[in-house]
Amino acid sequence: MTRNKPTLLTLGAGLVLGLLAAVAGAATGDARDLLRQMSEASMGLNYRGTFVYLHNGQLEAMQVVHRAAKEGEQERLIALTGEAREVLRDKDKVTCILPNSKAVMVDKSIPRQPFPAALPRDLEALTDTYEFQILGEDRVSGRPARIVAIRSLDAFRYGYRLWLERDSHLLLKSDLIDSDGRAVEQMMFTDVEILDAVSDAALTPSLRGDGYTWHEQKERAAADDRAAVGESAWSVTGLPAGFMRTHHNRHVMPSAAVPVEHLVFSDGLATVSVYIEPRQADAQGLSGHSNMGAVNALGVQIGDYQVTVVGEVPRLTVERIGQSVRRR
Amino acid sequence: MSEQIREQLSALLDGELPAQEQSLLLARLAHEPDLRARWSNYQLIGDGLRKGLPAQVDLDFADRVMRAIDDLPAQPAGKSSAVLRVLKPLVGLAVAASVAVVAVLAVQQSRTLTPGTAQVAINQPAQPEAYARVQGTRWQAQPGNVQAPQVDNRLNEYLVNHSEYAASGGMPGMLPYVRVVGYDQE
Repeated sequence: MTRNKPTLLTLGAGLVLGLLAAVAGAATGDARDLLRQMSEASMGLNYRGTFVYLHNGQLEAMQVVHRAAKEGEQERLIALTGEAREVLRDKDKVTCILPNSKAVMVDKSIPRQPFPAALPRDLEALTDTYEFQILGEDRVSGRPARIVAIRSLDAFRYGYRLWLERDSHLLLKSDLIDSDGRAVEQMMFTDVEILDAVSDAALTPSLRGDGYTWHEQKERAAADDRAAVGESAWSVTGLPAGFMRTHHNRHVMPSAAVPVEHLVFSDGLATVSVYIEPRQADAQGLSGHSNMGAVNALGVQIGDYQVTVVGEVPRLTVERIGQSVRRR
Repeated sequence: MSEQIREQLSALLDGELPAQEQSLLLARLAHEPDLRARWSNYQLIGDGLRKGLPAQVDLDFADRVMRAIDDLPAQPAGKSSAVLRVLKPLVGLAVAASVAVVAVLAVQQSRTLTPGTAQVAINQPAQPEAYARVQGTRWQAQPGNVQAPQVDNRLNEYLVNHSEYAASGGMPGMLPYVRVVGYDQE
């Protein structure tokens, strides 16, 4: 009898562990299902809402209008406090109207991908870098919501807390969390309605941009079109775990004469861009670290090239990437 | 004191405002449209200080925040009302003080229109930190390093370009652009 005891214990423990793993697995799967539904809702529904955006202790109000249509999504983002900054986005282009800079920036849009970023093996890969969990129920903007936590498993990316409307799965509130557990950015809808239809007028900018400087990207090779873009002469040798190259492009930036090579890395949630351009005698590039709230940037000079890393990732990540850019 | 209310509101959004303070803040805001309007004004004046009056004003904003606040789960009545009775006079003071700060801000706003006096206004200790920033960019350089405007411009171009990739991949919708819009403030 005594001989059997450890075996039974082991069996029991194994069973408990197995059950726990199954429960944890199910919770993770549920959380990711919710996130997939959130992504579909954000693309597939017509809605209009007012939200507050909190960063660096500052609160701003914005409005968003979204139209889902067969011919492509259309969106308009309007700052309600401060100057009337606007961003308009359709399937062809993104237009940022920035009265403060007296600038209109027009960039080509690229198609949205359902969550997570369209990497074939992300769902599995993501679990190495993030932990997904449904935290419970809450109410935001008068609507019942479920809270999903995305925890970063290392210091190379931020985590998230997301409040999704229980029925529509629309994102009602979002916190970006740093490795100390502090919210570095928060967004919360104070009012959101799902609409049957969105009028053209609701998607027309209130600013015409007269007298502003228009910056329009002159050309862009098709995304990941190797024939047009060519293989990159650059690589990142110290990419943090989980990040993969998702795009490689050449752009002519609005204020530059020469094309900029652009490498995009994603871990499925966080995105980091590496811009590489020949150094110009009259142009000065970023040297060292700079940040704007949760967005970090690092500039390094490699030979005759200016390398700039930009991403909504911690400083550590842009440093690790920036310092390991190599020319093949 | 408006700083305290701002902190309370941000804590409220964060879901981290202690229950006592939460019920106090909500009670004040729920019963006093004036306070709500004042809070809106406070926002506006802050914005005005930063870079001239907005071209477009959302007058309902405070009320909409209110509706969101209304929907927060109520505190147990007995507990919060006892706290409320004790602390109400203090809150009254807080509101009075916040009105005073609004007045100060309004005065400062008119003063900033005169070149040369802006710096004086900006150094007033009563002014909330967030509104004291006057540099033309939100990109923060390394300490001791002054970043040239053209460096910031280029970073902004990169950020707009990068946002499209960030939006197409990870998080949904316009979130990356919220940063572009949120940071085009002086």
